[in-house]
This record gives sequence, C-alpha cells and structure tokens, in this order.
Amino acid sequence: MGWRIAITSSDGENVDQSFGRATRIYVVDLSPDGEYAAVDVLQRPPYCDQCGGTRNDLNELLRRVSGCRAVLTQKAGDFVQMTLAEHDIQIFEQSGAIKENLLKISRYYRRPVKSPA
Amino acid sequence: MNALIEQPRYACALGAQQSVLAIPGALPIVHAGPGCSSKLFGFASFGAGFQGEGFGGGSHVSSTNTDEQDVVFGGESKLNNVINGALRILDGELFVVLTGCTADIIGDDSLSAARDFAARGHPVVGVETGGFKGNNYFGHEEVIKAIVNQFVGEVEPVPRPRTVNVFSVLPYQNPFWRGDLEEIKRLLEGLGLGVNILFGGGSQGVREWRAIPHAAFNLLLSPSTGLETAELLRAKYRTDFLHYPVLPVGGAETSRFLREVSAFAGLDSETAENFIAGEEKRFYDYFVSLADFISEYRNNLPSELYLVADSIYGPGLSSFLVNELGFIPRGIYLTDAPADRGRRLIERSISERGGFQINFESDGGLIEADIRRRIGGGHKAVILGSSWEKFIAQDTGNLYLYVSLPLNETVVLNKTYVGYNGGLNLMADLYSSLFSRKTTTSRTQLFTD
Repeated sequence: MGWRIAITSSDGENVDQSFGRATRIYVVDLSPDGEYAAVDVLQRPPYCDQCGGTRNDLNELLRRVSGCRAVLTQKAGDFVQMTLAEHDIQIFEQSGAIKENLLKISRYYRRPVKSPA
Repeated sequence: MNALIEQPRYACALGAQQSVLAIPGALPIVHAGPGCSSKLFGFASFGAGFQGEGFGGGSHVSSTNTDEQDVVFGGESKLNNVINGALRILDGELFVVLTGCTADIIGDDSLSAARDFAARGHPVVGVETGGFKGNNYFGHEEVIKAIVNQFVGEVEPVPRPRTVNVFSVLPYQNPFWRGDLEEIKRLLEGLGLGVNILFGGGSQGVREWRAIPHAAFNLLLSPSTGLETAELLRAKYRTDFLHYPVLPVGGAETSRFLREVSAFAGLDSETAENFIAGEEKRFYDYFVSLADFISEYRNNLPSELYLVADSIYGPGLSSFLVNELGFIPRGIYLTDAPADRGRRLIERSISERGGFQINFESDGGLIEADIRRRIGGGHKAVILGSSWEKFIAQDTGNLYLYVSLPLNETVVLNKTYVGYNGGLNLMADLYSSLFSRKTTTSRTQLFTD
C-alpha cells in the first residue's frame, strides 16, 4: 500500500510554492509509515494566468501528475482545484516541511474506513 | 448506546450556539464543519416558530467551516484566524467558541485557543460541544458552566439581598422561551425580587451574567437541566439554590410556586400573599368567564390529553390540564432524555400532583405509534406537541396545539404558557382550536353557511 503525491517545492524540503507559480514539482511515493522516496522532479514554467500560462500548459501539467493520489501545495486556485477534482486528484493546501506534512497525510490515508453496512 | 430514532425532537450539543445567541451581547464562534451552525439555526429557530437570529447570528454565525484539510493537518490555526477576525469585526461583549464533532474527534485543542485569547484580555470562552457528547440540553448547560468558570470567574461574592438568578427553559428549544421568561420575571418581581433572568430581551445581557455571583440565591425551574449549574454556583460562590422542578402553569401551581420562592427567600409573606391574591382574582375571573362557552359546547370539548414535550415543559403543562381543567392524561411523552435523577424527580413531582403515567421517549416514531394505538377511533382528544403531532390529530379527527419542536407552521413571538398569563393563554388557544380545527356545533344555536 502506498500513494503517489505531487509536491510544489523549490528545494525539496518545504512546501513553499503555490500550484500555479510552482517551477518545480516533486513526485514522491509515500508509504503508510510516512516514509517517502522521490520518483520524479518536474521542472516547468509557472502555469498561472499572471505568469502567462495557458490551458495547454495546465493540460500538460495534469498529464504529468495524473498518476498521483494528491497534490500537496501551498495554495491552489478554484479552477485548478476543480480540474484536479475531476481527475480524482485531491489537493492539500499546507505549507511547511514536506516530511511532517507527508507524515500527517500518511496517517490520514491509512486510517480504518468503515464501509456502509 | 447506538440507536436510530425517527422524528427527532432535539439537536446535538452544538445546538447550544442558540443559548449563546439568547444572551444580549454574546456571540458564538463555531469550530465545526460547514453547515453545522446553519442547520442548528434551522432546527431551533427558523423551524421553531421563526424566532429570528437572536443577539447576532442566526444563519450567519462565525464558523471555521472545517474540512478534510483540517482533519489531516489540524484546524487550530484556522480557529485562531476566525477568532481574530470575529474580535476585529463583530461588536460583541462575550464570544463563546463552541466545537463540533470534527474538531473534537481530531483532537484540536480548541479550549486552549480560547484560553489564549482570554489571557490576552479578550472576552473569549471555549466549550467542547461535539455532537457525540450529548444533546443540546447537555450543550446548554456546558455553555453556562463555561461562561461561569471562564468569564465570570473567581469573584468574591457580595450578596445583594432579594436578588435571584433564574435557570429554567432552554432558549429556542422551547419555542415560547421569550414569553415564558418574561412571565417568570414578572412573577418574581411581583414578590419584590430583583431578577437576573440571564437570557432574552428582559435580560441586561453580559452585565447581568457578571452579577451572577452576587445574587442572594439561585432558582432552578427545571427537573434536571441546570442542576449542575446550580451546584457549581453553590460550590463556587456559596449561593444556595431553590430547586422547583415543575414549570408553573395556571393558578394553583403558580401560587404554590410563588409561596415556595417567598418562603425560601425569606420575603415578607404579606407582600407575597397580596400579590398572589391579586393575580389569582384576575386569573379565576377569566377562568369563570369560560362557563358559558363550556356549557354551550360541552358536547364538543376534548377530554383526553396527549402531550409531547420536553421534561422542563411537559410536567407543568400536563399538571395544569389534568388538575385544573380536568383532562384525562392518556399519553404524556417527555422527549429530551433527562438523566436518571431528573427522571426520578419528575416522577415524584407528578405523583405529588395527582399521579399519572408519563413516558420518557425520544423516538418520535414510537410516540406516534403509541398515540395512534391509544386514540383508536376516538375524537375526544387534544394533542399538544410539534408539527409531527399535527398530522396525527388531522388523521384521527382530533385537536392539536403547538408546544414543542419541530414547529414549522406557526409564528411565535411573545406567547407563553407559563404562570397565570400562560394558563389563560393555554385555555384560550385550547378551546379556540375547537372552531378552527374541526366542525363544532352549538347546543342551542344553528349556524348556516
């Protein structure tokens, strides 16, 4: 069991960029005990409107994160949130240390979930 | 114990936001999911006789609207932001932070957040009211205790003679609470008491709450809700309390109530007796004036009583209807699940007042089935209850009056069924329903269209 997570980060240590302005996206595989390993680092131009991004840029970005269960980012706009939701990708808006945030996400994902009777 | 019930009559503990809104000057800050606060307002105010928004809030209460994000990372920073924002833009004298299920399950330390603001001089109180902890009767009492402990605080009491704090009906959950508290205050002032009524328009609001430690005594007008508060105040401020478990309705019970209060408070008995005599004369003058109507329409009068209300309101109403108006109690259902000692006290109070069967039942589906079975094909019943009971009355061709929640089809302002005035209101509403809710025929006059 594990989950692939995309993280907007300038240094690989902290979540410090919003989704639209991120220039680097780390893709990690997160295990239930909170350990993680990077599988990819995407370098890219910022996507957001103010940065001159287009719908094609967003589509390309979505293609690159399409296998992820969630995106961990500092902030994401409504349109991005809706678009990612359509692709069943969850968004967590939380800045700070990647290690601690991923630990909390792993605890959340591994919680026992009861199915409706 | 887990159980599913139909037709719920009360809300979860977070419903105590309505108790906060009932204090002039106080504002709730809800740390719960989106929808919790507005649904509780919908149940206890909008769907309860359209009682309005209280001091400030209604469906616009400050809320953290916690979501999945807060479940994963904790919602304390969001709560801090919302408290900060509320303090900045809302004009309140007291802010009460109430938590919902989500915050309490994930373990947010909401009380610490409130304490931190209080330590910086802000009038902020915190109380955990996660829905799984109890119903809004429980939440109401938790809110009062939190305000006493965290806001009124450690005060050396300077007792003011002939002043009383009143703890009684639940604001909003009792649709007539505003009128009831006005009548209770009027009665106690008639004895010569200064009254801290604490909730509603007749209260001086937060200032009155600060005066709680200095009252000569506390009056608990309820079988069990409020008992922990009275005990807390006795321990904290050494204030004794009179526990009168039955809400007085009508002439006999109200006079008994006033005599007990007067004796407990050591008031001048002549003043009390003069006041009671004047009130009784007025009450029974009106009462006797019903004689013509009762004799003319006696073939139509209801004689069997069914009542669905909470344990604060139900015993007083049914005692009046049974003991002063002669109704036969066929089904009395108390819906708020009072604690065991409250139940024993209610049973003892009822046995002192004619002794009739009462049922503690929160499941509206079971209540409905029992009422339908007992009524059978009869048309001599009046059902006092909520909008749910209206359907039973209409189906079976019997009368109904609204006295409890949910209450979606009537507007409630200053109506009361408490005290002398409440007894008169109840008689007028009860007998007027003969003409509005079924075909009624006079013995001597012929009405034609």
